[in-house]
Amino acid sequence: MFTGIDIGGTNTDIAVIRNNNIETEKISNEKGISSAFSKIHSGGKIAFSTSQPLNRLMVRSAGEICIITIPGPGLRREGAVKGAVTIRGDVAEDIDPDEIKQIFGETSAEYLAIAGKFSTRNPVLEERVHEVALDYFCDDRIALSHFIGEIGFPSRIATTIINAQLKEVTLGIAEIIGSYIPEQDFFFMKSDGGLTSPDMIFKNPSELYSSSQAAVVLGAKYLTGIDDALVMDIGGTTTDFIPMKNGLPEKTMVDVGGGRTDIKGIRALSLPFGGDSIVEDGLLPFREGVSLAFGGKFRTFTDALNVCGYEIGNFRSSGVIDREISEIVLNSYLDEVSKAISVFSPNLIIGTGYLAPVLMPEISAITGIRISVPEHAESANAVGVAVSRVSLSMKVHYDSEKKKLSINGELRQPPGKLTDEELIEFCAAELRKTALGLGSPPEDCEDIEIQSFRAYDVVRERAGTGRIVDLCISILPGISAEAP
Amino acid sequence: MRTGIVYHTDYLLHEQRPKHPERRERIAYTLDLLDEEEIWEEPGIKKIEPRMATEDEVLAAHNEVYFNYLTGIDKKGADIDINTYGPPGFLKGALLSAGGAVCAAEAVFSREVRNAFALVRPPGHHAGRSFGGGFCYLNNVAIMVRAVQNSGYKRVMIIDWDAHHGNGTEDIFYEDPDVLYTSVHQSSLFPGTGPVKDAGYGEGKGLNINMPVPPGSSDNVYRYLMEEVIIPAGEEFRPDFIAISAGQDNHFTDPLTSLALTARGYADMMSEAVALSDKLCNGRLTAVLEGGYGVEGALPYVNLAIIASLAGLDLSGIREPASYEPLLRYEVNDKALEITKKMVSKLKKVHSDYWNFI
Ligand SMILES: [Zn+2]
Repeated sequence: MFTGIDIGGTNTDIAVIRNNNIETEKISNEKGISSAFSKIHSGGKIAFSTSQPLNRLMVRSAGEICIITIPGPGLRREGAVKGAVTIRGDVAEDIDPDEIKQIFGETSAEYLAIAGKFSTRNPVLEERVHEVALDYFCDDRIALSHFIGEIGFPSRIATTIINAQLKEVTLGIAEIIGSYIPEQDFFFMKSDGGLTSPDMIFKNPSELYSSSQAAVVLGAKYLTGIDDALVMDIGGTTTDFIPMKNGLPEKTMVDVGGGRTDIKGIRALSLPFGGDSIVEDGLLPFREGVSLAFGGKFRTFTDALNVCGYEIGNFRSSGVIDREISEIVLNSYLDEVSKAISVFSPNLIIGTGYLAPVLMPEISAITGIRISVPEHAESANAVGVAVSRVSLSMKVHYDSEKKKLSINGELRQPPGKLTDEELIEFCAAELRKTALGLGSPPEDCEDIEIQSFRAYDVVRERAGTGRIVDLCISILPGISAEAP
Repeated sequence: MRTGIVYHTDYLLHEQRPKHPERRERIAYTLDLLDEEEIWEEPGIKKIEPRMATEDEVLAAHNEVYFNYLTGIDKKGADIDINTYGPPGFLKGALLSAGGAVCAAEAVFSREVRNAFALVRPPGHHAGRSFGGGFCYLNNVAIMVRAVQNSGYKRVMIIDWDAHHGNGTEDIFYEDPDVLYTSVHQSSLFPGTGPVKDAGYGEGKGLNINMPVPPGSSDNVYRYLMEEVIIPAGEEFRPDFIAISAGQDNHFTDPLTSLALTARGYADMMSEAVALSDKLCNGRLTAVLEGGYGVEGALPYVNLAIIASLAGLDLSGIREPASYEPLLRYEVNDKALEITKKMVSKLKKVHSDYWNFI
């Protein structure tokens, strides 16, 4: 049994795949997230996607977040304190606990971001600051940068600031989930569409950023068998356009609050209109609540569609909207949609979301582009989460001369001196072991790719030659071999 | 206006012998640091792709016999001097290094960037008209200066702060009335040239200013020489362009020299040079990497300091880590400034006929 749950802004979608049968359910978040979770039966594989922590993130003012950076010699960084880690991962200068205690004593901030230069090669200074911080901050509001792994200190700082604010929300969601699923035996989906463990998400919650959109793409792929198309997801508050390539979303970097971050987003375009968008004299880009057609008290885009002749929900309740306004609203929506589609010039559009069966034929008629609306399109997101497989990335820094190996910012003992090939083999085996440990079937661990590789030799006058390698190696996301 | 950085991954290819101090790591670590600092994302920075220098460009600085000699030994490799081996195929790397310097200056003159740093190797300032050596095959700075002159900007000032005397550059411009060569170098170090009395010849008389400094010379010595000699000479000379032979081997951690400059000292010196270029020649300045062998310790953040100064970035984080402080205290010679002042008074005697500021 495979269960996928996507926690969206307005609804929570659930898909349960048993044998060859897919059951889906959409539950309004107004009934409380617990009401959705109570429908989950434990057993089998259970996975969640949600972009909610980031969507709900109010970028906090400077006073609310304390930033400690450990740049050592180099460019000036906000929040710089004493301490330096060298390129080789050695500590060239320790932190000064008194300096840090003084900063913590004076700040009224409740969130803390700790980021050190080259911390991915030696996290010890970040950890020392963290130790001091525990007397001043709640650990749920402290984020460290070395878990983010990727090289690029300014981006890691920016992402850590975001993570400090996301961690608590993410832990909160996991706690609610955990009360229904024992022993945290579930997965979270990341922005790349792959699944990972809750522990890894707590270390870098920004990984959730585009997970809901990624889920839609995997669902569209699974339900149609198509690899390349534009996925158009018509939700309650937005309509998203997400290109799908080889059955996966395309990655892109994300700016949050004006700064570059290490947050992995996916290529997508979002219109601020969906089925719950308010209708007054025209279509407004926000949601206030449930449509008349679904027993709510708000005049929405869904109601306008009913006035135009569709039969969605309790369509007779929608009649209070003026016919002329309904048509204007529909036409202006279709207008915006065709403009958005033209950005991607697709050969095929897969429609998902509960309005897809209604609107996609109209869109095909206007644009002349082929469409596909699979069965269960309304919960493609949850289906995508259910069928996805575990995907993991390892950012590795190996220094054979100093006998140092750091994997995702955590120091490990290297198993002797390794050639490049042996290092790659070792890391691939570690990846497989971790994925198997998370319950991945062996067939899901075969698709291993080296994303980047850089190496150079180190020479000492008398001692032998060493080698420094930076490597990023991943099990690629995709649909699990076990999915029926 | 931005600061250009010339760089190419092929600069990591050249290697004389694996344990030679002028080796790949020199730039590999710097690059590692620039990536970690995300320097390429800075709005004030632009990456410039180099090309190989052309034969014509090379022959504007070196004579044909020497260039033919280099071409001849390129196939099988040969020793050029006791420290300098030309491995098979070395010429391609040398041409890309010289071409990188030329591209840096071209980008400055086309106003694509305000100023530039050519992060190139192998270095060049020991290569003269008809000789190589001291890890150098082609004189990158000289080839660049000649290219600038041939584009119509005749007057060029060279500031060579590499710890070693730039005997090659001196040789090429010794009689040139349009090129002012100034060099601060550790006295009695390789190649042994560069005394105060070598002041230029013929039309170039007075335009060769050698400033040998004692071991242990630190930031205060360099600041003194900038203020007392280099800046006033530049102001009087009024160049169209300033070229810097930026050797980073005067840092106190450098294993081959005994000078004691700090990262901040470099940054301040470069900032003064940038200010001078603003005053004299619309900010047209190009720095070209020469030596620097403290490959994993200081070279990366010293190169970063130079970039930060060129780009006008905040320099308050340019410093030394605490663990280096004892070494710095050990390396600094308190008498160096006094000795340098004596050298300058001698220099003023040698040059008094050629300069009004003296
Ligand atoms: Zn040198």
